Amino acid sequence: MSETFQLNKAAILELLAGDEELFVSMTQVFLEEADSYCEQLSAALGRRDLAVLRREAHTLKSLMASFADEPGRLLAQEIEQQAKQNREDDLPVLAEQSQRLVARVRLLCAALNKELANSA
Amino acid sequence: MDKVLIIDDSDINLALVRALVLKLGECEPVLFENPLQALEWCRDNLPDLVIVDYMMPEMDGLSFIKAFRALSGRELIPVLMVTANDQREVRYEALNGGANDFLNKPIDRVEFMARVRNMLALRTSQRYLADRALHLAGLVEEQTREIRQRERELIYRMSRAAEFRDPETGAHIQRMAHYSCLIARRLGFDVKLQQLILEAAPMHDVGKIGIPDFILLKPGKLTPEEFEVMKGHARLGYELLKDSASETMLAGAEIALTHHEKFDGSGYPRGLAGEDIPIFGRIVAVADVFDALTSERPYKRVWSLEDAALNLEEGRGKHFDPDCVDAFLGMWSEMIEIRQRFQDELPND
Repeated sequence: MSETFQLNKAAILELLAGDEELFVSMTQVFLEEADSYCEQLSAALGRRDLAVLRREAHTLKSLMASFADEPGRLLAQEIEQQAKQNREDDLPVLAEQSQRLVARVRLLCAALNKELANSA
Repeated sequence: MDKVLIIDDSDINLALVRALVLKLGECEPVLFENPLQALEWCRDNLPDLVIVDYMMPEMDGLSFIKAFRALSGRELIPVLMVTANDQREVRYEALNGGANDFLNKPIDRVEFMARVRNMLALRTSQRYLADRALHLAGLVEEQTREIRQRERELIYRMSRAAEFRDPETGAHIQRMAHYSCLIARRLGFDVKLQQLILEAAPMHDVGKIGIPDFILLKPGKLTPEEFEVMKGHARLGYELLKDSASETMLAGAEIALTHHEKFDGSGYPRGLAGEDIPIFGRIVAVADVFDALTSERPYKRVWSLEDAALNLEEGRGKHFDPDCVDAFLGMWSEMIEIRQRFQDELPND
């Protein structure tokens, strides 16, 4: 079943003290970089490099928080904390969680693209 | 314009923080994705504020702060570390490692602006205090220079007061002081000590102020009793100068007391021998005797420089410290130059 996503623009703007201009430039940078973050997360998983996986999850955690996506932030935090344990046995779970996080990032990107198109 | 160094491996965070810093006005953001490159930049540049992320690939924020603080002159520059609220241990470690405050992730604009403004205000105060300290240090230096100048003038006038009552001339005082400085230089004394002996040596005979005229100015040979009184000038000079707060006066006191001591213990007033005689006294003994021998006086013949040098050689280990004799004779051409620079005035017709 596909996950639903609702962009909470009001919460994002609250963090930016209502600065629309800043929201647009931050969103544009995120949209440019999002693929690269997801690729690095998957690559770390492929190399079974839990230290890098933890760091990439940490980065995505802060990005998801910046865009007020609490479920995405929590998912990234779970991956970060689990990877910190440095247990190879956790790799299957981490792979499943990472897939969900990448899907979540894609949903966020789609919602942000739509938002930018609407406000243009 | 405050320079704000921002270090974060995430482009989006760099862009966000840069935009917020620019909104503060009067700030120049300097961005680095790589903390090692930022550290290199810090070796040659002085930021006014550092905003550093915690988790980065090459070097984490904690290590960066430690390395940054270890650079000279970067001990007090405000550092803000960007962390998440759930990283309590990291925060403690950062505080102990030299971070001044934190920024929470996700970055909240209002909080960010307030904390960054506070840190920049702190930096402004630091700069003001440093400028003020520098200004005050300059004033103190200027005042000290003036005091030292007055002290030098006082010493000169005091030495001249003794000279008025003594057949020795002002040029003798200048020459023997410069000879003393030459010896000190040859012995490897630092510049400060060379200057000290140059300024203090003129006071070697200041105690002659207290010697009665009939002895001090007696043209012929002194009786044993008169000579005993004459010897008192060493202690008189010491008594005159000994309680001064001035380093130069104290050195003058030591020289006055010890410049008639002899290396073999046969001098006065205390009969000290060898290295028990303070080094300034041993140096001045050589300089004073050499110049007295090679100067023309109504009551004695002038010695040639070679004869005077021979006298010093013969006095090695007896009257004089051998090292001081060697040092003086090793500066022969400089001695000649001093003799030419400070010549006795010809008597008026």
